Amino acid sequence: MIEINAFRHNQSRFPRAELEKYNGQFVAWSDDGTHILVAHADRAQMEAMLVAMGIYPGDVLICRVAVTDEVAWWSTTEDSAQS
Amino acid sequence: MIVRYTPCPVNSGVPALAGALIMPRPLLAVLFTGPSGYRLDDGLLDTGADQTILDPSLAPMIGVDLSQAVSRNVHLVGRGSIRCRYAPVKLRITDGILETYEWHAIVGFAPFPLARSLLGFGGFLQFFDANFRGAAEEVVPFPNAAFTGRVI
Repeated sequence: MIEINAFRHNQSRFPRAELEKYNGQFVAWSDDGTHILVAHADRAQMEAMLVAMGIYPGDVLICRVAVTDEVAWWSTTEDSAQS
Repeated sequence: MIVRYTPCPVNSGVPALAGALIMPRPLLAVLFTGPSGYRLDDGLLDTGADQTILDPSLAPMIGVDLSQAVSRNVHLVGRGSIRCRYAPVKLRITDGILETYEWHAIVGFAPFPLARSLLGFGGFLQFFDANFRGAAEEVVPFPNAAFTGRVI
């Protein structure tokens, strides 16, 4: 089980220049957030790499690296006639 | 449970943050469990999202079959109307120390890759009250009366 705040503390110290190399890719983080275990643009292939390392993909944090100019274009709303 | 905001790099300075190249975001690691597996994925706590919408890459990894799933249109800000497919999953969040919450919900899966899954009202924030502490860059979610899952 990941101790998430310690993980985030370490993850936030990951060098930006290094992180940008993974932009747009799925990455699997080490349990302590200090480094990236594997990365690939295709999630299935990234997970296959984890399995080859003897790691079940559900046991590590997976995310897509997104270094973008967009700041807040995320929300969804119900389609409706009212704004 | 105190969830520290995650510093996320952006390509250009954010004017409201004195030109900062780091945007603090309330990301939360969520364990999603389906019929054949589980995955720990980051999601964004999004009070502006009406529902929880996940990246479609997650579905096959946990055995969620979307081929016969109910679908409907939702409006994704910046992307217009999109058709999402819905399926039940189990969600679990934890701080890894003291608090763990687990519940079942119907969530949507986007038709195209998302930069981040959205943890919106339906399926997620409906079950939690949350104190977004901007100065401290942290959020404190705690289960409310609508939460019918398990506290572990």
